[in-house]
This record gives sequence, structure tokens and C-alpha cells, in this order.
Amino acid sequence: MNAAVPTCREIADDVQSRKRSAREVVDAALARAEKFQDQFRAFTRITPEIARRHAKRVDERIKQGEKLPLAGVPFAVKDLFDLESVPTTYGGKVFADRIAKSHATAVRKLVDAGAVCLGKLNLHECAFGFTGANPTFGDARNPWDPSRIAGGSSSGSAIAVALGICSLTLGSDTGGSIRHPSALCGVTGLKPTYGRVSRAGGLPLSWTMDHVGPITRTAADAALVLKLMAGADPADETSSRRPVPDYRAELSARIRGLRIGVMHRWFFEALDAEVAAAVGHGLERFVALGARQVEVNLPLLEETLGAHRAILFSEASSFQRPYLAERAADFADDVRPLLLAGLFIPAADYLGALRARRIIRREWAKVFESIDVLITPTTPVTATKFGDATADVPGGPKPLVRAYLDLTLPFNVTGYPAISIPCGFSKAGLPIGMQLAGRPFTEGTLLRVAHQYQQETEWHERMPVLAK
Amino acid sequence: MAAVHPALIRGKTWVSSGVLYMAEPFPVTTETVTAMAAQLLGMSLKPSDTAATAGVLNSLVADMQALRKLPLGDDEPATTYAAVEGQP
Repeated sequence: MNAAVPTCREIADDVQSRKRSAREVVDAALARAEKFQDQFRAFTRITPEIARRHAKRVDERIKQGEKLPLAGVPFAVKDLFDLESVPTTYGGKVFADRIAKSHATAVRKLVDAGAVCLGKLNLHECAFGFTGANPTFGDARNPWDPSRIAGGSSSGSAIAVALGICSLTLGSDTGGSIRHPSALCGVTGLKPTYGRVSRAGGLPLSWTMDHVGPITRTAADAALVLKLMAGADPADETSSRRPVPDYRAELSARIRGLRIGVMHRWFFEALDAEVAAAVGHGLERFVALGARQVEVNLPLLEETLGAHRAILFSEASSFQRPYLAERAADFADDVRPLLLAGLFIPAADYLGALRARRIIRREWAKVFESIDVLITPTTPVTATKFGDATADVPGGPKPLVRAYLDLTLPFNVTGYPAISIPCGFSKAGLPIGMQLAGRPFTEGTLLRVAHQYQQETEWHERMPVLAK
Repeated sequence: MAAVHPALIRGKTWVSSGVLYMAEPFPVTTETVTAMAAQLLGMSLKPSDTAATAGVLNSLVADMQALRKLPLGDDEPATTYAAVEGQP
């Protein structure tokens, strides 16, 4: 592992054994956050006073003999999750005065485990976009090339990990918002099964498709953190009561015999050649480790896209309607028309989408009986420049919203878990992401496959030159 | 199919033998958005927002065509409603 970027586990071990204090770790992380803020705009707000107060408390708890699995681990949260006494801005002006009364459930669980929050992370306003362009807090820029987008909407969450500011951030994912920026910034992003992690204390984009998950440098860290974040929560009635496994215990089990599904239509049809090659090499690596390649044909993908559109726009606009009525001009110019359009989706389409979701879930379950993991690119192209409207892919230019999200959004409609891990770099030096998806509540399998890949490769250890 | 009387055509939707047939819809215009915003929602939109919203709606309608043709049978909506709070 790159010495500049210790893992969550390494930091926690050091702080727990009192080689370093939480305060020392956090001071270094805060200095790094400040150093990169003007150039990359990872944060909407850095909260040094809160971080140092949390760090002091962690050091006290350790002196009292407590064992903390995330002792002194600096983390930061997408600015749609509540952090007590801090505004939850949703990345814009409309919510700027919304001071959180308590922590979001996922934040509280991390703090209870000894993690120390550095602040709130930048995002595409209202989580309704994938570029990270933000007129209120400044454009979130890609650490590998600041003229390019970081992806989104959890833009700052991926940037902060890529820059080595912290080894853990929280993101949310409604169409790819954890996996997309993770792929473009070269880090590991996990969207768990719908209901695995409580959504309570997070501002909604789409209640029935929002997922909360970690962005980390390694799959092993994601396994550590997911165990701590997951579980039933009375504050979120959609949170699952299933027991939470010890994901770390599964990491080292062999993947020999695992069935890895590949679907060429939709997922491999219109790809940049470098992305296709990198993901292809990833698949070869799994086969070399003893996995078995299985061709599959997931049905109803066009219908899944339509369902995603109907649900996302209807639910987002339902939530934002009062704010649109009173403060429409305060929304970003690229977000306001999306919210307005959602007001005109026929209720029959929305309910049709919710009905279709049952059919899609049923049909997908049949296909996933024959595989353990589905492998796809996370995105068909690497990070584009700010202002680009299309992606150049075989078959001709494709609108970015289709190019970037078509490969990730099906797993938000079905609620299936999916992880993005770095699997290569383009000749231009931009990261390429590989997506692994599985049946509901098989995060352990996905994390195991991702971990074994990361044991064999070093893509996830690379740091942007600008971050060194 | 028998010829459809022009008087029954509404956009590209027509009624024949009591069955409603739906073909591809017309593009949504800025005039439609302006009218719907005013008449359905009581909102007055800026011209730039009206044009952008019409563009988004046309994209949405195109993306939802396959969904609209999916036979939904007896499946009910997968909502998260629970009659007793906290007991899904």
C-alpha cells in the first residue's frame, strides 16, 4: 500500500495501539483537506472544530480501554447526510440554512465506531446529476485531470479518497452516484443492497432507489465499514432486519468455481476500446483464479431504464415541489428543469414503473440463479471534460446521461448490490472502473471477489500526481 | 385494422371498438409546458426553463416507451407503504 494513504484498518490499528493519537491523525487529514480544497473543491464545508472534538473523544475512549474498530479514522460525508449542528446543504442554496439536529444513522454508527468526521463533501446539487459541476460550492474536479469531471453525484466523496485526504467517505447512489465517481476517480465504491444501510438522516433524491454506501481505497476497507454501517434502523422502515455478516471474514475465501456472468448486449455494446480491454483483462484475471465465465442475458433492460426515469423524476419532484414553488430561482440552472419536468410525469407512468419493478425483479432473479457475480464496465468511457454533452463511443456520440448511467442504474431499480473497483488506466492517465453486481444481500461475495482482484493488482494503489 | 375516423384521433391516440390505442406521442412543445405549468400547477415559468423542461420531458417520454408497452398483469406497485409504522 502506498505509504501516503494508509487504509482504515491501518489507521485504526495505530490509534488503538496508541502509536499515534486520533488528534495527530486528524490534524494531518485536515491539513491535507485544506491544501487541496481550492483546486479540487472536494468539500462544501470542512469542520475542524468538530473533527478535533471527535478526535479528543476517541483518544479518551481508548485511554479508558475501549476497542474501537475505526479508532481515529478520518472520514467525511456527502453533504446530503446530516452531521449534527452543521447545515445539510444538498450542495446548493435552497437548503443552506437547514441545520442538522442529529447525525444521520450511518454517520452516527461510524462515529460510534471511533471514526472522526472532517466535514461535508461536495456533490452535484440535490444529487441530481453526474458531473459534479456546482455553481454554489465550486465545481468538483477530477484529481487525475482537473479539467475533467469527477463524476457524481457523490463527487467530493470520490475526490477526497483519491487525494488521500481520508480513506473513507459516505456517498449515496440512486443511478450510479457512488460507483460512477469512484470509477472516474480510481477508487472503490460500494452500493449495497437496497435496505442494507439505513437511509435515515439523508436528504432524499428517490426514496425507493436511494442507497447509502462507502467509498474507500480498498474492498477490504469497504468490508470493514459495511459491517459497521449496516443493519435495521427504526428510523428507516425500508431497512432490512437480516443479520449483518462479518464481511471481512469472507474476504480470503477462494473464488475457484465462482460463476461470473457476462452480458454483451447493453453492458459491452458501446465501449471505449481502452475500457473494454481493461475490463476484459479483469475478467481474464478472475478466470485465472478459477472462476467460471457464464454468458447471460438479463431481460427488460429498456423497461428498466424507463422505470428508472419515471421513479427518479417523480419522487425527486415530489420531494422538491414545495421548494420549487417558493425558491425555483435558487436551484442550479441544470437541476431546475429536471425537477420541473418530474412534475409532469403521469401518475400512471410512475405506478406502472413501480409495478414493472416487481416483474423486473422476478425475471432478474431467474437469471442470477445461474451466476454469482455479473461483471460489467462501470462506465463506458473515462472522465470527460467539463461542458462535454456526449461521449464518443463506437456507433457514434451518445448523450452523456445515457453513456454514463445506463450501466449502473439497472441495479438501483432492482436494488441489487454492486461495487466499482479500479481496473486500469487509459493512455491519457485516467482511471477505468469495473463493476461487479450480485444477488440481493451478497455483498460478501462482491467484496471477496473485489478483494482478491486487488490482491493481484495495484490499480487501487495508484495516486494522482497532483496528490503526491 | 379498419381506417380510423379523423374525428377520433387525439394526438396519436385513437379509440376503436372501445379500445384505446397509443402510438408514439408528439414532441412536447414549450407551449405545452407553459400551459401545463399554468393550468395544472399554477406556476409561471421563465422562457429558458420552459425550453429546458420541454427538452427533458421529450427525453423522458422517449425513454419510457418500452416501459409503457410492458404487460403489467396483476402486479401491484412495489411501494414501501406499511399499515403499521415500522412494520413492513
